[in-house]
Amino acid sequence: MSSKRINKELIDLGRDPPTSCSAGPVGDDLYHWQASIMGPPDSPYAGGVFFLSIHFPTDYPFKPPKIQFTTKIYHPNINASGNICLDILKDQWSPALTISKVLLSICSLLTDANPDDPLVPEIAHIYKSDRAKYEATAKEWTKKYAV
Amino acid sequence: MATSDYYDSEEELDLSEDDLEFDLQDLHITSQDSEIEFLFKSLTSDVLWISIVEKADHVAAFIGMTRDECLVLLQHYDWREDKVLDDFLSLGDEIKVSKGLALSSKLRHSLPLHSLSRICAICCEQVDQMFHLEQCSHEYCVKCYTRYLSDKLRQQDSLVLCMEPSCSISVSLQDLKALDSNFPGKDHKPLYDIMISNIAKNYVESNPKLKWCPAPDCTGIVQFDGFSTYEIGTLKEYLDSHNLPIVTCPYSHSFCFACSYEDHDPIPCNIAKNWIRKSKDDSETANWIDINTKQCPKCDAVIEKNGGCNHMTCKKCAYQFCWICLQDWPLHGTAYYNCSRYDASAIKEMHQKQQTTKQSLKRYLHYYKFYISHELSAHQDNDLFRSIESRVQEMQQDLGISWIDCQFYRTAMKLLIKSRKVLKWSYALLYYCEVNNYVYIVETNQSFLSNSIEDLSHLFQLTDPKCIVRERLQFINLSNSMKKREAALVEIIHEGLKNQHLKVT
Repeated sequence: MSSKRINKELIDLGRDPPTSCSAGPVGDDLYHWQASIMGPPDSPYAGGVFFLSIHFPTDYPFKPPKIQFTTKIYHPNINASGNICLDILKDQWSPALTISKVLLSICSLLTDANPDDPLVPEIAHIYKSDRAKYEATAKEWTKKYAV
Repeated sequence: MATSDYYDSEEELDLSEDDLEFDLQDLHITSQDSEIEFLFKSLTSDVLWISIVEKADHVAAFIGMTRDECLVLLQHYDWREDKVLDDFLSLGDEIKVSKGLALSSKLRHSLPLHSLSRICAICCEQVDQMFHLEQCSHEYCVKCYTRYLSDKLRQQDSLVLCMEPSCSISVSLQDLKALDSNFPGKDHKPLYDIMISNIAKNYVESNPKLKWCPAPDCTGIVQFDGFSTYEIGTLKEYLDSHNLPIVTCPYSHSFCFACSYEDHDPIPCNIAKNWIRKSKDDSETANWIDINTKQCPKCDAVIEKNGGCNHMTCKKCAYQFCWICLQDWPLHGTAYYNCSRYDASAIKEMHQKQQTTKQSLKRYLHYYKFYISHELSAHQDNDLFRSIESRVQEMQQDLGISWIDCQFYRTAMKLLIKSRKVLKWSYALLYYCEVNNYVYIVETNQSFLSNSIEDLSHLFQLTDPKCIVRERLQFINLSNSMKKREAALVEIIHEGLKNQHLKVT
């Protein structure tokens, strides 16, 4: 059942691709995808391309996909191993969500971080106390790792 | 339930429902020795549900909504009727929109029409039957919706929203009934039932006067109903005045209302909690370490000697020493091994140091041994209790004795289990007490009770119904004297804690 749904999402992505991201399977494995997100223009990540790996559980879409950044990124809700703290990837997941909607949510997380619910408290602290420093570091990391 | 891991004793589990009728007084009184009683009611989940529904109906009558809608509303307001009414008065029917009971009129017009295609967006299969909540029209197939809801309900959610992420409509009990009707088979556990128990959970957890019974799989609830005197207002005051709120659920499990752990009378919650944590952590390990290992005299690394000679080399710090006297190896000379240095004063000093650390462990193990042996015996008594039913029946039938005349046997067993429990906890208490003369008095009372328990326990070795009936008086006498000794021990401990003769460290 899950393969049918994943296939459908793949077809829909091809038919109506979202503007700032792309996604597709790695090799033959339908349950392992790679995705890329362009840094949103109004954020310090502008100009960077960030890669993510997506693993679908066998009971997808009743369980959320596992998504991780494989490109290093400086963000209060994304840690050094690329894990993302996003409610719709955890308890707020709904089977009616799709990969394309999730990727768009991640894009907006890049524009609007959520420092009140941080995964990396140090970055969240800088985000709140010294916004300029945060933006500078995020830009620097983008240049270093994502261009 | 969350508290169940505190409750590792199964011993009361076998007191089945019908035991309730008998000598409830013995089990029910919360603080036998103090004048102030902790009043409570035991409720089954069915009785609780009736009171929840009454509450919802009460609100429903005021604001003109259905019971289902009010159940959702009350959850949003922590079951506070006044808050619901307040918001209803200021918001009017808008309250329905803000709490997911109805769509705003704007959204209602923009809802998708029922699609002609019968392809479910979740599983992407062609299906015959689509389903949508009564208040919105986001359609998915019956199977996917059921799977989604059963996942959500299994996480004990009681407020579940429509599967469409942008829709804020709450799933109602009616919706669940409609879904359940698609699965008439027995292997489908009705979502409706799960939702009801989730709502009840939400209700109990939002009300500090209600507590679930912590026994595994027990669905009993206890409701706190105040104290027998107005001198005490809060649970904290009650605890501070050295009382314990021991309560009994409708299925006869007794537990402490304050800490949701099994009945630990006569000792206070914090000591019981510490003791449980300690005994769970390291009892057996400590025991083994004590018997099988020594510590390196230099770096305190724990060493097990599993063979070889007495010339030890610590793997950690490379210190060479003698296993027997724990002294520097070179002192033993190069001649053939002969440890004659055992009485040297330096060794004594070092031994003393080791002894003090060992002593506290020993002290613990000493009390733990008593504690655990009574716990185990209580388990065995409990097994015996299970077989009592048949023995009592045998006595009734074979010997033609009336039901009431057989009760002595059951009563004695119940008292035995209760006394063991008191004794067990009193050992845990002494571990935490400074040694003084009062402790000596407690210990004397412990041994009195312990002897009584052994005597009665011995009597229970009788298996022949005839002998049991013949010893009837003996059963009654022994259990009465045991009960008195138990009361004496409880009193002395309560007194000691109250007047601080027992100094808890």
